[in-house]
Amino acid sequence: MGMPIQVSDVLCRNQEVKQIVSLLGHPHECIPPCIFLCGHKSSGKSYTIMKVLDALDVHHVTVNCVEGYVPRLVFESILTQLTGEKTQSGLKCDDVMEFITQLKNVADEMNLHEKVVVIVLEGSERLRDMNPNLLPALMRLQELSCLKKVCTVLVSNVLWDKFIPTGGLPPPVLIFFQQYSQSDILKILSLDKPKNYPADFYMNYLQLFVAVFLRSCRDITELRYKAAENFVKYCEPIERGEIDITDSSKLWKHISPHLKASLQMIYMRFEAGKKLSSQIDSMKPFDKHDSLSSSAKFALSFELPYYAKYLIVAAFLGSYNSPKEDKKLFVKLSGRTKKRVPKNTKNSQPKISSLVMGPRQFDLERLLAIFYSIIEEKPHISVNLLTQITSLVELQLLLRVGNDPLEAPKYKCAVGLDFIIIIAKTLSFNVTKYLVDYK
Amino acid sequence: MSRTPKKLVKSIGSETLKPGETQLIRQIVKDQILVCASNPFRGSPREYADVLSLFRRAMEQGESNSALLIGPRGAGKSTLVDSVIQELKEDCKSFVDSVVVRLNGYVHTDDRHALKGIASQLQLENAAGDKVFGSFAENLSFLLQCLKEGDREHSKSVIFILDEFDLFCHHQNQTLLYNLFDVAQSAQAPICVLGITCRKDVTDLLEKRVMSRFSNRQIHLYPHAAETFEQGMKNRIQLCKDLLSIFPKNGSASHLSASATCHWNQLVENLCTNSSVTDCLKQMYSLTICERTLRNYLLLVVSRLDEDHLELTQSDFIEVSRQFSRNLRVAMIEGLSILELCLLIAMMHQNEIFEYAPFNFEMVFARLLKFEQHSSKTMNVDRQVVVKAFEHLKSLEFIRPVTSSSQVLKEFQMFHLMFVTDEIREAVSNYQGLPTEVSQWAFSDLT
Repeated sequence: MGMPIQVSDVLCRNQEVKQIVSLLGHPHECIPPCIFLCGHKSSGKSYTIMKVLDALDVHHVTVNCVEGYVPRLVFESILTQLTGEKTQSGLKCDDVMEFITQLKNVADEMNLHEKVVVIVLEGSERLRDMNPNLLPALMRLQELSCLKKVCTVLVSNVLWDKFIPTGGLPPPVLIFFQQYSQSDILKILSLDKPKNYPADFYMNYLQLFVAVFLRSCRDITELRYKAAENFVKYCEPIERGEIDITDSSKLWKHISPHLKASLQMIYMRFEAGKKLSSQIDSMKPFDKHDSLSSSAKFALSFELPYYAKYLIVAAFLGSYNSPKEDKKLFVKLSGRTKKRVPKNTKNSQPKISSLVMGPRQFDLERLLAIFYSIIEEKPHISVNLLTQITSLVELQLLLRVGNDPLEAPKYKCAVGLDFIIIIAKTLSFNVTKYLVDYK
Repeated sequence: MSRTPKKLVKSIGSETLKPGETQLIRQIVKDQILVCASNPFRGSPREYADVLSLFRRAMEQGESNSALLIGPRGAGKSTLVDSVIQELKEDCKSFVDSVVVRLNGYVHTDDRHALKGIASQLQLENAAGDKVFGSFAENLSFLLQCLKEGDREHSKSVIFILDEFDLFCHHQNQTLLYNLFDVAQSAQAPICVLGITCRKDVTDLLEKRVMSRFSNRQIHLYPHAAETFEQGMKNRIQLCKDLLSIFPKNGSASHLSASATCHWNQLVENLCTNSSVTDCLKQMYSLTICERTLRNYLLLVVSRLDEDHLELTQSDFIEVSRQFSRNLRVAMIEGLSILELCLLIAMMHQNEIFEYAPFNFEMVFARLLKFEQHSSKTMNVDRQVVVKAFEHLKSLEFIRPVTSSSQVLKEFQMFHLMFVTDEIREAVSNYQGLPTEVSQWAFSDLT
């Protein structure tokens, strides 16, 4: 009996394919009750096992535990896939016992008792949270269901250590998927080569691309997406006839701002990426908007009114300064700031800046007091002013703490320092001067 | 696939295995490793005799009793019970007159399920008709009626084996246990109840009224408790030899030619005395005495046999051992991107400075920025990208939230790092193509 699968079908995974085939590929031999595949996200775990199972032509079902988020869905999905969608109506399977009875029935019907049946559970770390009895039962399916050759394959990017409950579990056969190396990544990405460009030209591009991206991301799915997205940009000047296809240094100069911009948008997948690159295309790199970072764009996108800007700055100051410091910071005539000798400085624990500790809550009165002390003109307190606070809460820039209608409302600032610095810049207000912990 | 290697192997020795024989051997040995029933129970003769006599008396004399079999996971509790039943099947005449009912705590999650399971295993489903699906009390009384019928001599004895016994204790009111123990104690019908569990404190879980009906007979199974390391090692190697060797009396082994069997057994014998193989086994034994791990190990070793690889060699053992002893936690860190690794290093330093106090994203980010300012090459530390990296670490469970409250803003949620400094440093020194600045940062004491 020859190997039914060529290991070259799955790139860079020879060892793993060989091992899985040696465990599951011989229909006359015993099958381990449970195999655990772990490795980083998109390191080819599911792809490999699916390829192998397809090639081996054994009965197999795949359930993603994100979709099957309750045991019932997992069970029903397994059963319907096994029977081949014949009996989806009237199928109801709520618990392990029901599942095992039905599985036995299915096995009787389809004569599966002596055949290899593989149940692949992707994202299996979620099984831990469903029902404490579920995972142990699924791992022992061979013993419990009397199907002699059923095997549960758990696929996860969390290590096996994290699965073991206090009661303990029988150890499964572990197969670890090593993260792809840089040359592996290049090999896999080069599969996506567009037809109308030569291979070494594409390889050149990939090397540039990987050099920029690999520092922040080793997720092959994301890299493939980004590579395809940026290759279009890379080729544009060639198609327009501006740059020769062999002039790699000029091409690099052209693509590098695109790559940098695209790197900021990693994992985001929104269309803003396209808009951003079209702006770079229009050859105005020092345009006011382009020089801003993505967080600045976010801050400006709200287009807050004048008073609301001051209110959010005041809220930030209220959140990150202790009330004790208010007097020193905001009372105008405190020219007599005594230089107190800092006593008792042999604090062994370094002090943690309040900026990294998260916002404190403050009440409405304090917010208004800070607001009036930082704004030049003094607007009358009015409904219009107070609705600004409500709209800030609605925009989720402020958070309201507690919802007791009788108590005075309390708030927390929900935006970070860089947001506030950008807002303050538009007001030409030096916010850092008022922050005790800002260095 | 090329056919040359076979010829090569053949030419080396006159007595070698043919591909078909290797296949058969692989099948037999896999069977021995994976199916507990296909190999005899080893060790703990006292406990074995206890369970055997318990069951035998229940079957032959209709004596009712209850007992608990307690032992750590993987100690061979189920194997013991299986081989006891196997033995009784072979030599006890009254075996045909008795019924073995097996319940499992994972499957029969409440008393109703358990009752259904009992009814189906006693083949009373038809007799009960739709009563099985009636009310709980009715079912129970019906079932008990069936058990009670007839006097000692004429009724079938029933052996209840409750796997994961501790889970049955969590059933509401412990009705099932109460009734089973009650029947056993008052000798209404000849039943024997054996609970199998890995919890030593299981009797504390029993309610008082249940406890008073339980015979309080406990059989403890600690197969490795008394042995020294050397003895244990010796037993290990013997076990290895037993699992790998082929005994001609075995069913499918009869298809194998005597010379092949002999050759294979000689090979196993040699391997088990080979010092590098025993070193591998020793290394594993020092880490875990779990027999299942050994079986998994041998399974992978034996699986390496195929048409191009007809005999086991010591390198098979060594390579699988390498796979087993690898620290996957470090291997996972090595698979991170440089940015994520930098975050981990920042967390590690944060831990050292603040003596393992929990940290949040802002603290780690501030530390990362500080590093970036001092480093000559500018890294990409766009905040959003770093947030993504942080979340990736969280989803890999490299960091664990202190509380799961959703009240706190994402950036300020507190976390604990799930790695020690040495693991991170080991991964840093193994990492391919890491900038020297980063590794210097990881190994520096001051931050």
